[in-house]
Amino acid sequence: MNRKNPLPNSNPNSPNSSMQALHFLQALARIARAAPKPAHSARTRQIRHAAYASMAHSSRSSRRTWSRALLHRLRQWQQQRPGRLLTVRRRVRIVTPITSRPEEPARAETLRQLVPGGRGMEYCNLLEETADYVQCLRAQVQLMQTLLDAFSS
Amino acid sequence: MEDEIQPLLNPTTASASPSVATSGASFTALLGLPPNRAVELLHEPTFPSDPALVDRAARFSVFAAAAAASSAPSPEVSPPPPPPETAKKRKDGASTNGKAKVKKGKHAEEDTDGENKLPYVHVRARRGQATDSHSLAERARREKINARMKLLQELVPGCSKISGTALVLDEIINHVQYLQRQVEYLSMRLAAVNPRIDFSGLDTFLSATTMECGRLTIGNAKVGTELDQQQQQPVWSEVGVSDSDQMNSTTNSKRLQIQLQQNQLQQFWHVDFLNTQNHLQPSVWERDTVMGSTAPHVQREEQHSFVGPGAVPLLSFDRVNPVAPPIQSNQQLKMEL
Repeated sequence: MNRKNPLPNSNPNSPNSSMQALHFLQALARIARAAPKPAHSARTRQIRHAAYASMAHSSRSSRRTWSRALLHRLRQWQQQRPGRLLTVRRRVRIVTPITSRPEEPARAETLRQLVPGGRGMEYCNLLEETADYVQCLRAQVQLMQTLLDAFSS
Repeated sequence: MEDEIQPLLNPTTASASPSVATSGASFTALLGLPPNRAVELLHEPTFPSDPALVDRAARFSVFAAAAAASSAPSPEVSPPPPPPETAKKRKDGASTNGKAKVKKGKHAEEDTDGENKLPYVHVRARRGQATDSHSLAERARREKINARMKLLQELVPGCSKISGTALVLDEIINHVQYLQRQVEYLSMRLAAVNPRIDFSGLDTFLSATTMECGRLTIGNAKVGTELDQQQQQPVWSEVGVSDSDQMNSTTNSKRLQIQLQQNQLQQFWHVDFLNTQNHLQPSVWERDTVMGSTAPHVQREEQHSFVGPGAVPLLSFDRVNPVAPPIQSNQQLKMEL
C-alpha cells in the first residue's frame, strides 16, 4: 500500500498509532472484564465508543478541534443512554448562516455534519480537520481489522 | 527633497536591470528613506493609487520588518532573494516598469516559521492581476483552500484522478462515510469475538510493553494539552502496573509470555521482552528529558539502533510501512501484524 503522509505531523511509525492502539486495547480489556452482557448491541455500542475515544486521545489529535468535539459528543452519548426513551431530541442548535458562505460548494454542509465539530469552522479549517480525521479514522479501522484478524485465526 | 533622493536614485538607476535580484537592490535603497517619501517616490511615475492604503501597506509590510530587525534593512532583506521580494506588498506588478515579471509565490508557512519576523502572508501579485489588498487576501485564502484540497486528494484513495472540486468533495464525503461505517461494522464483529479472548493478560502485557512507548508519547505530548496527560495517568494506574516497578513488570511479562503462547495470538505477539525492557529504559528516560516534542519518529528509530537485535517497534500497527529498522528478529518476532 502506498500511503503518503503529507501532513508534517503524521509519522507512520510514531507513538501516535501505538498510543491509539493502546487506548483502544485497554478499553477493550475493560469491556471484556466488565460483566459480559449478553446483549450484542450493548457490546457493539461500547466498542464503538471505545474506538472513537481512543481516536480522540491519540497524541496527534489532542490539539485538534475535531477530537474535542468528538469527546464532547461521546459524553453526550454516554449520558443519553440510560434515559434514552424519555429524552426528546431537540435541535437546540440552529445551523446559523455563519457556517455557510457563498464561496463554499454545496457539499460543505454535509462534510460539516460528518466531521465532528465541523459546524463552527470555516471552510479552510474544515478541510484541514477533515484530513486529520480521515487519517485517524483510517488508523483506527486498520487497527480494528488487525485485531479481528488476530483474534479469529 | 529632490537632492537627498538623487544620490539614492543614482545607485538604483545604475543597477537597474531586468533581473529580479537586482530589482531588489533598488527597493532596498528605498528603504533608507522614511516611509512617506519612499511611497511618494515609488508612486511618482504613475499612479493615482490610494495613498493611504499603499502607505499603510508599505509601512506594515516592509518597514515593520525593517523595524523588527532593527538593523540595516538591506542585509536583512536581501538574504534570500525571493522572500524580500514578496515583502513588498505593493503595486509591484504595474509599477515595476520594465522589471521582469515577478514570480508568484506564497510564503505563508515559511514566513511564520522560517523568518519569525513577518506575521503577514506574503503573496506576490502576478503580472497584470489586481493587486489591492482585498484580492490579495482572497487569493491567499483560495490558495490555502486549494492546498488543503490537494492534501485531501492525496489522502483519499482514487481521488487524484478526479478533476473538479465538487466531485472531489463528493468522494471525500463518501470516504468518510465509508470509514465510519467500517468502524461500526468492525465493532460489531469485535463484539461477537470478544468474549472468547482472555484480556487480562493482554492488558498488563500491553501496558508493560508500551509503557516506554507511552512515556515517549507523554514526553512528546508535553506540548499538547494538559488534559491528555491527565487522562493518561488514570489509564495507567487503572491497569495496575506501577511506574516504578520495573522488576514486577518483567516477571509479569515472563508470565505473560507463557500465557500468551497458549493463546491464539502467539503467532503475533512474540516479543523479545526482556531485552527491550532493560535496554529501552535508560534510553527512554534520557530521551524524555532531553527532547521535548521533537521528532518522535526519529526517537523511535534511534531507540531501535540502540537496542540492537530483537528491538521491537512497539505496536507498529501500520502495516503500510513495514518498519525499516531492525527487522532482524526472526527468532522472536515483533508484532507481525
